[in-house]
Amino acid sequence: MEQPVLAIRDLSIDFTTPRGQVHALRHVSLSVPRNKIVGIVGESGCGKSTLISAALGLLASNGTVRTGQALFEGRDVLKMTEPELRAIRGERISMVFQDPMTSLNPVLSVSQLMSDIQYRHRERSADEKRRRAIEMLRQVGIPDPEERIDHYPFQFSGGMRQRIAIAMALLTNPSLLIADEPTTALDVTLEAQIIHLLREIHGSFEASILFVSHNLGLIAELCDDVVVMYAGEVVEQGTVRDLFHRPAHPYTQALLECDPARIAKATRDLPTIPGEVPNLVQLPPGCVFQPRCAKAFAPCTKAPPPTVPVEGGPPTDLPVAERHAARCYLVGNHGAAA
Amino acid sequence: MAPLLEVSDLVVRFRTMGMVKALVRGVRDPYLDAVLNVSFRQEQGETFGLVGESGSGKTTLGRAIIGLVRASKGSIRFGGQELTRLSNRAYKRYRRDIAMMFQDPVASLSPRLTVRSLLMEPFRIHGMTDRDLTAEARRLLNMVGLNDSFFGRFPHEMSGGQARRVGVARALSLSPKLIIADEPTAGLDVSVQGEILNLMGRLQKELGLSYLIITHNLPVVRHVSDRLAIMYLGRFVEQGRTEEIFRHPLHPYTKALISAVPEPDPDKRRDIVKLEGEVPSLANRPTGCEFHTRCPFAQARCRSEAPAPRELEAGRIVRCHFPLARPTADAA
Amino acid sequence: MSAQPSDAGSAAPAVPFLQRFPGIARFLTDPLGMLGLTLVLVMVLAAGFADLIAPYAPSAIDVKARLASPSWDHLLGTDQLGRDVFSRVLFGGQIALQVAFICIGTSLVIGVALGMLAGYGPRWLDNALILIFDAVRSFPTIMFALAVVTLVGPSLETIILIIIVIQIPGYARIVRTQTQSLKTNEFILAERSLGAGMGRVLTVHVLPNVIGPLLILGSMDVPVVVTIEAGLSFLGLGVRPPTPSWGSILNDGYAFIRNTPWLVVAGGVPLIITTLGFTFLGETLRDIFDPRLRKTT
Repeated sequence: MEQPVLAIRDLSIDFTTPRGQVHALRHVSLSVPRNKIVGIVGESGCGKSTLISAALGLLASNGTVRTGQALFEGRDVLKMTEPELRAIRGERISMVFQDPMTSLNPVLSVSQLMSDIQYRHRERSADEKRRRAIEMLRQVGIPDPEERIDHYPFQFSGGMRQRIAIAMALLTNPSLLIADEPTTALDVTLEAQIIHLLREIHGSFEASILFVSHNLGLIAELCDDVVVMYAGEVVEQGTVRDLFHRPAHPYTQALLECDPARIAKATRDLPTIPGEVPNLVQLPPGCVFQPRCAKAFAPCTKAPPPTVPVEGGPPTDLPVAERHAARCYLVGNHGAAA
Repeated sequence: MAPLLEVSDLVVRFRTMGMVKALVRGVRDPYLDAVLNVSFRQEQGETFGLVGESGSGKTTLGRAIIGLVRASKGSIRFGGQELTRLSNRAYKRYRRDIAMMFQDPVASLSPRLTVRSLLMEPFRIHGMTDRDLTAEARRLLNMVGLNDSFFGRFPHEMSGGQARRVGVARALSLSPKLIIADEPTAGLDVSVQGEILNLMGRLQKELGLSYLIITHNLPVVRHVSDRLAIMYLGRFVEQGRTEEIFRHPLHPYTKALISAVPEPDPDKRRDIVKLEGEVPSLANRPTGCEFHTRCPFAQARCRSEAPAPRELEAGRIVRCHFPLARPTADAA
Repeated sequence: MSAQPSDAGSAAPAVPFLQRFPGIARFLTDPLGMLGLTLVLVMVLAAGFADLIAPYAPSAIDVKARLASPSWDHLLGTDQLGRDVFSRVLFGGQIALQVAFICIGTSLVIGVALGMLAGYGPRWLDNALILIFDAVRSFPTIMFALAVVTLVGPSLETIILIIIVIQIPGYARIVRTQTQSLKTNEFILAERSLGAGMGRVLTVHVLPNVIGPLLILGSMDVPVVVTIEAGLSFLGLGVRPPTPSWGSILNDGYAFIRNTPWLVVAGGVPLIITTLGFTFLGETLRDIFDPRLRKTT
């Protein structure tokens, strides 16, 4: 069994704020296998931004790691020194951000940006760097790359800029590409193009992709494995088919029910999940989703449930830690979730 | 019955540079047409959707109807009254009948005013101070499911969902007939989108409201609108009953939009991207049918001749030389 | 899945006073800010209660005691006419702060009004106002003062007028820029969509959002204005004798600097203290209320 590119193990992170300790992540475990696309689904406050910051070693100064590790290719990012981190950021792990309008330095031309990012490769000449950059731009679908590489970001549209951002991210042949809501700021037709591009790129490069989104459609479209986060915890994980066809956790089920794209018959009475995300300073004593869960019963208020494998799926030879699992008392010895 | 809102051949142009600059640079036509020859009607009690991507002109159209931007040509009739030639002062009276909800719920609330003051503003603006404004504010808050513990809150002290409700309450304050809602679900998590939409629906039934919903979110508009129009580069390319448009879109752009929305089902992945390229800039409109640069079915005629809007079936108006074929037998 | 409102009245959690206004807490712990506040309070109180504190009338002449060194009788000595310098400094402070508050107050009001009009109103109005502002700002202060004084004659009123006129464009420009950027904000559009006219938009929605930084700027301009007044008075263009102004005290002391330096010190030190005090205060306030630093989660 190959070592996963990214393995988050039992990670718990607190932030110290004037309001108290914010328990942003609690015992989060997930892994990104080699060459796979893993999606993180979560709504506001679920902790996905904290998770990504931690994976890049960019945790804010008021954040403390209480337990756990973030292993990138076997080494704990949280224990690395700044020079070690700099060696892997932009080189072994790259990132594509949400807003293409602000994520590219406006005062540098695209060729400068793309040569800069290759700075570690001193053996390459300036011409060589430029040649690689042009080739990369061509691969992501920028027309006339030889000319356009000397343009500035403001001369490109949003969709083009996001393609450039992806090109930059892949230029150094990273093992992990983190895409944080890369299409949220784009129109739906552009979104489809970018997702399609990511799938193609994934085929030709040997990079794993960690794809963060709140859009279930995109997750279904792109990802191999999916992790569902709620209020700082992983509540369910599994293959994309496990999650969409056999969702076990009530939150996942509710999320799928609420998605207007999944509701076949047009209706004026849309389903919602009543209530709000809990206050991360003062968490409910039991399961974090219990206050909003329609299926809660006695044990749910007592203590947070353990992560339990979900029965009833097709046979698999994955290790237990990577199978379809959910953090819910309804799963496991109570059989498949109702 | 006369329609609530009737827009005919509306054009909204923006000047891109001053006269002198245009002269110096030799630019003959320093204008951008954000809305071009738009015509539609909305009946009382109806929810009409304006659907489009960025640059489609949908927000500008909404703002023109409420008078925030000036129409350059054409007409907007509200309850039979022509609005486009009204002075700002004369328009004020109609701003009681038309209200707007803005896209960013927190940013659309004046940051230094409390919720109570924000809700009293509309009454104050219209000189309607001869009543108990606090009671009115309370009534409005209750209508949207908030209680008066919100009176003293400032916009930045509320969540997006709460601020949106205050926005709805404010829009309702003068008992309007039409509410223009600009991206009512933007920024909301999917699990709570329904709350605001259901609230709007409930208020519609209780108060006989009509909505003009501006959005790029196709799954949502499919549920909440009765009729809709698809906009591209400032024009309507298709309009008609929502259900029918989704069942069989007639314009290639409509079909492309619908199929671009990813289905939340891994077994329904799409292999082909239906629409390549990007929306052309408004400054460089393509010739003929403006969609021809990206249309998979474009032919010679599309490059040279702009299609006129045609009513292909009852209530369905399409601007296309070669509209998509309707299925010969409707699925049951 | 039921559809119920999720927060029908969650009350605002009770938060202790210092947490609601973190700015005050930060201010109280900033040493420079507290120093500035102390100095300012000392100056303001001394000037305010000059009548009570001053041991002598500022114009009381006692030629026998002229140019006396500082002593218990005369804390800062006497000037060339035997007037008690300490009393003159106190009353000079009164004048200085009066001038400062009148000038800054008036120019703020006019500057804010004109700035909002320029930023929000029609293009032609903006262009016209900018032209006027730039014209006024391009005059060197001293030349402008000289010109006016030559026309009208020197007096305290003249100085006040001059200072008001030269202060207005600075404030107006800042307010104009802020108004311009607010103009396109959604909340302004929202109020306009409700029917609010320019007057209401400016007074109720723009003004509260631009006034904050301006008040801080105003307080930092106090030493500037005081210095201008002192400078003009030093040149003889300002207050007429025997009215005590720090500048005229400096002027008087200038001639005797070799033998009786305390006159110059007495004229100069209050200026320094005022400048330091208001500057520290203003800078600390500005840092605290910088909207970029203020982020509510």
